[in-house]
Amino acid sequence: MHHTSSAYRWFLRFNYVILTVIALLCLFPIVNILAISFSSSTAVNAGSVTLWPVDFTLSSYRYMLENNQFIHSFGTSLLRVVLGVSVNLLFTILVAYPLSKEAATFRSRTAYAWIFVFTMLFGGGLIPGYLVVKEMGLLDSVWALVLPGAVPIFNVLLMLNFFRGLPKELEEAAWMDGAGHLRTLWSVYLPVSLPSIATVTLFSLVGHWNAWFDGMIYMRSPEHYPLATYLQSILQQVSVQNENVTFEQAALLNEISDRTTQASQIFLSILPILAIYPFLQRYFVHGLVVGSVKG
Amino acid sequence: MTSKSRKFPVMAAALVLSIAFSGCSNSNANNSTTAKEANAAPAAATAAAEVQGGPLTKYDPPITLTSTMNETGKETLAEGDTHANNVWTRGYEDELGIKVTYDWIVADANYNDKMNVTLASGDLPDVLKVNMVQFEQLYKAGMLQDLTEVYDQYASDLVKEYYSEEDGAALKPVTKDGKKYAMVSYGGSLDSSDMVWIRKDWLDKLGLAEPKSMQDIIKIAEAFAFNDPDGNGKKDTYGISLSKDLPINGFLLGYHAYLETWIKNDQGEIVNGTIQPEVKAGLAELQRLYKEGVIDPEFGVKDFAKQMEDVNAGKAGMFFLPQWAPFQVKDMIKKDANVNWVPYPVQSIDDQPAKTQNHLSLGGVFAVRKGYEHPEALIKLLNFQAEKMFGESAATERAKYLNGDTGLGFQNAVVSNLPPNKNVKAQDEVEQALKTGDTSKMGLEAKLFYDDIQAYRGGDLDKWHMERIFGPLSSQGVIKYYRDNDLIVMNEFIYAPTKTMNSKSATLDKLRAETFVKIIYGSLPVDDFDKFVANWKKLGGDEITKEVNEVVKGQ
Repeated sequence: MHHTSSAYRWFLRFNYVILTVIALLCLFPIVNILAISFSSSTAVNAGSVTLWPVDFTLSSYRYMLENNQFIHSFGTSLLRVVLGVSVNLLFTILVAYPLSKEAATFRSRTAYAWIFVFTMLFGGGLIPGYLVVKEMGLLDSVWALVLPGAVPIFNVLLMLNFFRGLPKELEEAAWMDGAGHLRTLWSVYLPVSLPSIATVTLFSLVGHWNAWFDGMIYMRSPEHYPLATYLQSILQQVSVQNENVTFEQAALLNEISDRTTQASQIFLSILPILAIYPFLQRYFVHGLVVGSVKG
Repeated sequence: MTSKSRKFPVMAAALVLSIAFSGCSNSNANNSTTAKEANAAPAAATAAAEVQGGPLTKYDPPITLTSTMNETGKETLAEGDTHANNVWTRGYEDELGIKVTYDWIVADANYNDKMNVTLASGDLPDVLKVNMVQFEQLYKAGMLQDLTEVYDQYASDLVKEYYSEEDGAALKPVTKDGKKYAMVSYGGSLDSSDMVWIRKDWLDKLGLAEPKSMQDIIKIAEAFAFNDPDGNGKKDTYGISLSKDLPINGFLLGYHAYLETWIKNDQGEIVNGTIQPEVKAGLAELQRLYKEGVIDPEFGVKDFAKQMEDVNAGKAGMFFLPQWAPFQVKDMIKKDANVNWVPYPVQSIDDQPAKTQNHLSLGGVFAVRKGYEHPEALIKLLNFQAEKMFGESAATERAKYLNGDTGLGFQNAVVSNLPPNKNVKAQDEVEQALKTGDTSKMGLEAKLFYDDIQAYRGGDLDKWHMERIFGPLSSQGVIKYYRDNDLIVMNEFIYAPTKTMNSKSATLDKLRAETFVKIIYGSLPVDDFDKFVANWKKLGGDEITKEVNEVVKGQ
């Protein structure tokens, strides 16, 4: 008995060491970016910054807070997340609830379900998507970032499975007391579905925060870029190496491609997610597992 | 129960619609106003079209023109200006009577993708700022206006002078059956010259002479790797800095090998320099140097940024980059004023002089949508930009249009074109002025460069790179040497990519990169170059060569 438990302790220790190393490896890029953002650009260009700032300076953060574009984009991203997550949640729940009913109760359920799953497998493509958004008059508005992805099918499936896993008796009891569908959904299903709601919230939150491509396609001017699109565009600009670079472009790139500023921008942009993640994470693990097991 | 659950989708649909419409109504308001403006414009414009005009005559009543914009940094704008409303757009409206609006403005890096979406959606702006591939697509689809006549009639002398440079090469790629279908932004080909950058302070420390031949270059590289040029007692330097993108042109030119360049062979056929036997000799030497430890052992996994980090950390004494290289190493000087990067012309391994390989580089293609009532407006915009920056009004207005802070405000002009090969001419003037102290005959730009160099010499280390680009010992000086001694091999193929190029060149480039890195690493014998040539031809190279010959001879 003693023998096995000592082996087990060793196993535990070993486990902790491995997991700590892996965790540190995941932290490394973030710490590196942080260190770069606090270092002088001369030191960064020479590649002498790893985990600790060299020639500590706050100038990149100062520059950025004076930079309207960053603040604008940050605001656009926040607005997008608030609108996007609310719309996504609303539709996820409103679509998942009826589809979680049995075919006997909701006769055309399978047909509807297939329509939704179909869009998961086959998309219209970039150009038709662009044309639809354009013809709807959504170009250059934050709705162009929110509405095309208003119904996240994957989240619907998660939610749907979760609803199905709930005991049928709950629903029956509510019906006995005279509740209709809306009341049942609101007062009975939603309160017990918090883990799974937290999960899909996190999914759509991270998704909206990180999405950059739609911002580039649908926005007509950089002032309306969400943060991820803005960051992508400045990071892209760094690579100069072909011989067609003119003297003027080299001078321009020298002005704008300051790696310390980029690092501070990247760091500030991941802050909100870093701040929210720990609070949602416990639901996240729980909700995913429960949602995926069919009751 | 059944009836209730049937209602549910309807309710959901109603919700979707109501939200969608609330979204629409906002932006619809904007759309309809722009649509109204666009409709109103042509009617007014037809009346104005009767008025004959010179290169810069004002439209009265004003016309409208839509285009698109690639945003470069906010720093290029004056305080309070935006890309949609700045010194250029106001100038167009006040002095030319052209009201320029942008369908969209995106960051420079995203411009091509966005333009592709726009072209595919069929919603074209009046002035199309595209690349060669997109130009070719638009031309084939018959969507472009023939600009031949309006160019002849409206282009200012200044603009015509720009396009006559280098035998009028600039407009050749956009001329079809003798008709001009676009204007271009053309910087001339000289700035694409290759050169060798060497740390002169290391040369001096090791008592080595400046290179006169390829053999010298190799000897210097070896000395930098083995003789401890930084004097720290450790073997921590290497001779040649490379990256995985293989910037080895400056080296291979010593063997008369012209990588990625279409050259005429003795039979008058156009062939690709990549597969010529001269390349093999250069690769063999690089393989030997790598084995010796002269080349950075990890270059195969380093990108350009990483390569430059090493250079900035003082680990390498030689690299091959074009004239703008000093921007990449300017921080080193601030840390250690003894660091001294100096450019040298490419050197030859035998008694034949080594030549640089230059290519025509178009910064952009400016075309006009078929059906736009004022194709000449494009020419006028180009006239205007040339006039404000290099014409008579430049003396008083140039600073305003360039945005004094950066000198880069010309990037915000809707279409722009700089005088071709202006940098080497500026260097000439700077060098003379530095010798004589007489700045009265200098061009505006050359004067700015001269002032920067004086500032550096007065102790402002931030301006060191200007000394090395425009000073007496500078990259533009090397370019002048090439020009004056007829040491330039031009890329013969200056047209849009051919059909097979579009589909096969990615594969061929990858094949080349992989094979060359492996040969330099020594994991493939040098003789595998012959196998590479055979594969290159088989995998589309022969087809491309055929097409290239047809295009060039057909012109």
